[in-house]
Amino acid sequence: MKILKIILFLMLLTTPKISFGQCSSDEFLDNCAAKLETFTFIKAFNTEMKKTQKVEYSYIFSKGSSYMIVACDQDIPGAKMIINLYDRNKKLIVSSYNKKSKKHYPDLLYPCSATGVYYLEVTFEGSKGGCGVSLLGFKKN
Amino acid sequence: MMMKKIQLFPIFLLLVLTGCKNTNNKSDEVNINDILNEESTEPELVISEESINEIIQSIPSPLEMASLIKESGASFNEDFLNSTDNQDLYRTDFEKAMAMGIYAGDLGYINIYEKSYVALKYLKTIKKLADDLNVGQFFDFETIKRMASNADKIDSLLYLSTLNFERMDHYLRSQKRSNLSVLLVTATWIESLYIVTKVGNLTSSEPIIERIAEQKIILNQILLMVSTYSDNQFFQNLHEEISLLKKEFESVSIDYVYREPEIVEEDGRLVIIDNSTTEVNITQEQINAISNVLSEIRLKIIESD
Repeated sequence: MKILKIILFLMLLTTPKISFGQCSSDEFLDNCAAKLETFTFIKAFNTEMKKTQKVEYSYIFSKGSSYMIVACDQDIPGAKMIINLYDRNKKLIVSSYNKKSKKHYPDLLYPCSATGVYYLEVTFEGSKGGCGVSLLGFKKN
Repeated sequence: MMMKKIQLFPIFLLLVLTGCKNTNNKSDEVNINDILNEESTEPELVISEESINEIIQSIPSPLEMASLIKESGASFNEDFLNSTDNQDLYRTDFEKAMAMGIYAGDLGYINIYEKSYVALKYLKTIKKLADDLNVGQFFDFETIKRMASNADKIDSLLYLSTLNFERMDHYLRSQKRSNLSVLLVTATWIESLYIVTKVGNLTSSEPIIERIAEQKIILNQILLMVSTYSDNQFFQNLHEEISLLKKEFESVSIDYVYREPEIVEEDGRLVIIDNSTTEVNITQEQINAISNVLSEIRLKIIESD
């Protein structure tokens, strides 16, 4: 009985780690890349976090190119991945989550007309953290 | 038997806990926002490994420049590339990382033009250099060869090549070998800019000229990354070379006008209507000067001088 309890305890401990690992697999990434459609894949930002945290990435967007940002998470209700896009002055341009309508958008399209540094902030809904990948693709306007 | 199982528990617990390391460590000595702002780059700054990683990540992919070239209508020109015959010239790890970056820039150009036969030749060279740097595991040459020989898989080849470079770069940085990543990214950028200036001289395409001018923004990030390792002679020399390029870019102006963006929803997707603009001012003389300095820097790299 004691052994069974230990096994159960170990299973509980390992469960979140197993599920976190799933979003860095080749299959997960390939499925996500398919959502870029006709855009050329250029970057993968892997995000794995616990509790309420934010991770920030930056990229120099160029005028004349359109960028597609695709968010892929583990599709857990209440723990969806949110991407916020900021400009060079850290002014919010857009969020993949509309707080008013409580709607999540899985992808953002940004036809860039001002070359500069842009920031992608990744966070997860709720306070449980989560795991996902955001991909960046581009094509000429 | 049961005793053995229980003894394993603390070890297992330790493994699980150390595996759940927080990936969001934000303890920079210098604010990354300040570093990435093109107006505030100070080469003398000493910045953290984490900030260096963020800058490396922010440098545009060579595919973007190559795409612009193709879009201009220019034909593919193999003469612009660093010959794979040069691969044995590179002896030290730093030289090999630089060479790999140059070949990566070439590969972006080759891939965009879908020249799979040439791509294979370059991937083979890149794989050799990667093996020498102990990162060859990221290039599964057999899979790449299969894709390159199948016209339907050209998109996959492009995807896989990009992904392999991404993974190799992440691995190098995780292994505290960011200095090699910096060289790789720097050389890739130099090669992409070299090819675009060569095409720019031939076509006078406005988007290409504009893109050359905009490299002033990226040049500042490149200089900042390289300066971080300037206690090393190789990096110090590289910094001096790139500083010559910065001098040529100094009189190029980029004006940014901010206007509130609009957001619309199209087919369930959010589309940003960007109303801000950047206007660049660059003359043909400035482009020629940039092109000349760049060619000299690149020649020193590819001849491993």
